[in-house]
Amino acid sequence: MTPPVVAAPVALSLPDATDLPVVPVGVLPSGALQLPDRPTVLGWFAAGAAPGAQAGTAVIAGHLDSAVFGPGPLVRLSNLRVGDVLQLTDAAGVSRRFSVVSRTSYPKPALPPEVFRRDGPPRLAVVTCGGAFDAARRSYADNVVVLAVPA
Amino acid sequence: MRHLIHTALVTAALVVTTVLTAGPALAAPSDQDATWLRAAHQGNLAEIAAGNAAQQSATTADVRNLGAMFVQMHTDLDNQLKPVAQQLGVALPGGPTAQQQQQLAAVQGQRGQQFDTAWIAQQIAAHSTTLSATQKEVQAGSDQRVLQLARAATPVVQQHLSELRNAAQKYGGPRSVPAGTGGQAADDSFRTAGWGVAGVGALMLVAAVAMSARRRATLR
Repeated sequence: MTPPVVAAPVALSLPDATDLPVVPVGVLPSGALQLPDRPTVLGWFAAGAAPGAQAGTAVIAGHLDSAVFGPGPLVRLSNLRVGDVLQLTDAAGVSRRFSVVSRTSYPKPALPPEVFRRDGPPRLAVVTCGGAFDAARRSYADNVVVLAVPA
Repeated sequence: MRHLIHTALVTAALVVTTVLTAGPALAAPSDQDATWLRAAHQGNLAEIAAGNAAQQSATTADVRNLGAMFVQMHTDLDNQLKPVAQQLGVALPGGPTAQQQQQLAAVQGQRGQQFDTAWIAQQIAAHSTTLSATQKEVQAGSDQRVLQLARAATPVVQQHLSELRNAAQKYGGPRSVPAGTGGQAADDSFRTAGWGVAGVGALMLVAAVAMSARRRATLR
């Protein structure tokens, strides 16, 4: 009758960083994804696909580092290789594995909208910042996007 | 006389047996049913709290109106649920879960438009989780009254989710992900550029020292 709905994600594990808490986040009027202040807490774009949904890209994002809180676990994204496993646990206790297929750096203005697509094959995108840091604007030049597929 | 007493006892026993086996009212609910009743109840309480917070703190009419709707509909759902839980002897928790309270507190920590964005996102997550659990109850529950509650709740929660997504859609998809303000993790290419600038300075320093050394040598 109704397509099965997936519970919200609550934790992400990388190969060397387990059970990073995940909270739901949305888009501000500026178009920016609102992220938790602490790099240790990641945001799931809640109006997009959920990890485990039958279609669409589930997006989890987090600060690479913070002027207030320092660097966070997503610095480890640069260590990821194709085939590495990322694991997401949802609020119902279900765990799902995803296998890394790519890691790409985009200059921020060139971040592809299709990273956030709600249609298409089910995938996971983990997004953070990277590249050169502009100290005056406290901003990185790039977005780093790790894509993974259900494993 | 003994015959009469015997008949009376048998009749009484029959009546007692009939009462004991009469209806599901005295049967224990399954773990699945009981778990869902408790979770749905806490979900209702969490939604009522979130709806009140929205009416108090929202910047946009969308969120205020959704908040009012959630308070009303989750109060209705809970008013249907509580008597069933009582009949089944399922004790209901007194408030939302610690995690639900924490999540609402995090939303309430946001100011202005940030509150609305955070509220919509948190509510999408909460309703997705609730709907997922309710679908599971419909599939795996046993007690007819609990199943009826779950079936009645399903379209309500679905409608809420749909309205929330409509509200979220007004903001559009994310156009940027500002995910780093510290610079501590800046990559090697920038550090190389940094050394490049420092390197020129270092060369100048070395040259200055060399020149002053030569001058000293000359003076000696």
